[in-house]
Amino acid sequence: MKNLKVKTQNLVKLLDALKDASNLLAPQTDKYGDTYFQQVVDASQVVLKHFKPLMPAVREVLFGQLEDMITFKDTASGTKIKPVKAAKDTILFGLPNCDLDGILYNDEFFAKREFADFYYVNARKKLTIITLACLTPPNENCFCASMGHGPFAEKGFDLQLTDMGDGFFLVNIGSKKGQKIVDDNSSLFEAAGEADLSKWKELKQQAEESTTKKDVNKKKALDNMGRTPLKEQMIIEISDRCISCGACNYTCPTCTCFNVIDHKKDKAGTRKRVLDSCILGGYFRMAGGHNPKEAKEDRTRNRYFCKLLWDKEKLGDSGCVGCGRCLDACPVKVDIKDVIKQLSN
Amino acid sequence: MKRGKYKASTKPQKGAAKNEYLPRAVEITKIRDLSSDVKHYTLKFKDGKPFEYKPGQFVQVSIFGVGEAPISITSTHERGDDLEIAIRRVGSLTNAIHTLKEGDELFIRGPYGNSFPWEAGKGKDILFIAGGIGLLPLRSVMNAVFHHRKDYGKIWILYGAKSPQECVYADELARWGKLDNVEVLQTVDSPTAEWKGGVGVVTTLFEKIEFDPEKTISYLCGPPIMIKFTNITLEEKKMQPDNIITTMEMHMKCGIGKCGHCLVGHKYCCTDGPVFTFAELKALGAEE
Repeated sequence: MKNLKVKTQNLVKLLDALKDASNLLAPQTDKYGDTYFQQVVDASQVVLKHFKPLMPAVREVLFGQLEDMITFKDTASGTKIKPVKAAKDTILFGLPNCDLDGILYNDEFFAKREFADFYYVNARKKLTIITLACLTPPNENCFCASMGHGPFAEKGFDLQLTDMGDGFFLVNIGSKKGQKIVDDNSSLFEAAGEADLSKWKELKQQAEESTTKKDVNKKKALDNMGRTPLKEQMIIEISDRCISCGACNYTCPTCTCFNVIDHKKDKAGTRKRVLDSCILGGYFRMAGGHNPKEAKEDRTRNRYFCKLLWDKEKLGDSGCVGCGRCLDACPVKVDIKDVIKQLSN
Repeated sequence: MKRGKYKASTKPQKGAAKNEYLPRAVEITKIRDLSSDVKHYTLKFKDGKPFEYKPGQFVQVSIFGVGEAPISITSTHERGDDLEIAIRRVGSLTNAIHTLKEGDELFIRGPYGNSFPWEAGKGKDILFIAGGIGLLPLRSVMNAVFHHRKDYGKIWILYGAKSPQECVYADELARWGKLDNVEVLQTVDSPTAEWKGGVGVVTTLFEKIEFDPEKTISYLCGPPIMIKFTNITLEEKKMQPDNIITTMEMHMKCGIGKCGHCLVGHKYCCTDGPVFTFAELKALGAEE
């Protein structure tokens, strides 16, 4: 990994150049005080501090909450249909590593299995990822290091930035796309020395320690998920508390389920896909009313087995990246970290 | 802490991804009523390009502006059939399809799913058991088997429905019943005065047949409660779960293992199924 550094004011200049060349999405704070990814108009407004957006970054461009798929129009000779064109070149700036690993999960799920997803693949090709390493946990629910997913990125990014606290950001280059950004704006960057690098390693270690929960043992927990009878008792307890709102699914960076709906007005319309949640009562219901997972307990089992057991069998790792968003969003405070903790023994 | 790594089970696809969500237009060339709420449609692709499929596969059928749903193929490509599907009026899309006329348009994509392992049963006796519209998907494998009649031994078709009016493919059942070494037995819950078949659930028909569980393959489709009791009976008769083959119906939105609605245990009904042996369903904890 080749390392450079960039001065804070030069980073703003870089963002200013990037916003003109591409669709640049970066964290900005709105007038209500909420920070989330927005299109950059004024680079000086970009928040340069690590943050955990409420909605995972994968929802911004790759697999949105609501996405157009096909437009259609009734004509005298039948319905004419047209696939919706892929999104334009986009740079996503300032995402944390849990979101990057969420995107890597989605890459495996949508792009690398049988029947690659047309819309995902096309949007992904046009995406550049610049992550901002978390120096401290954005909130108390973060446990990415325990799940092996952060807080610093090791692969999958185009550029990774780390705030060194001395007016500089250390820059890791992770891909050809990242290299090109650096080459195109080479006057803004300078070489990072040995001292920078050892300081960076120190920050990385501190950050890892702050997001490691001592009582969580991922390997043991995932192994136990496959065999311990304890999990059945846990599923029942979770489902007793769960109010089936679906917030855990909607905010999860590795939830991939969707529904397909048609919106039609007069003679034309759009087929869209919308994020769906397996916790919702009607998720498995078929036309005619039969519902194979009518009991909340069965849907709870589906969610936890999917996340902590089946994903590992299917894609090589658990779907939980330890971002803690499901707990951030849960109105009754169902805690996946606590589930993993209980399974760790 | 060891770093987490995602690795897909299959290799990445080369080249541009095909848009699997984009269906092809078909013309409805023929419609016939199978019962009070089931219609049979013969379809022709407007682009004239071929459409190959195997017995047991399904297609995603849509009317733009109404929606899309998975529907079993009831015809048999093996015989050179036109594409045929049969649809029960049960939800918004199927109600809309029932209002269409010959010459009207539908959209189809697929075929999706695995298929009935009908060739593996060669040399054996075949026991088809269907309840209600469970006969619709089984018709594809029945026709494949009858098309290669000499490769199989004795064939039984046990069919149960709510009433004689609800029996689908009555004409074809009658025709099959006249073939050598084929026995078609029917039963209904509520008979009419003219009804000549049995009365009661489909498992009552087992009293009238004798089969060798060692050399018989069973194909089974029907409502969940019927599947459950038929499986119990087949197991009592020493049929191995590996030789009991069924096809599942689940809510599906994509048909290609992405939308997540059709999970049966950790398997996708759309890509790992819809055809499962009873042994597989038991392992998935989904035998009911």
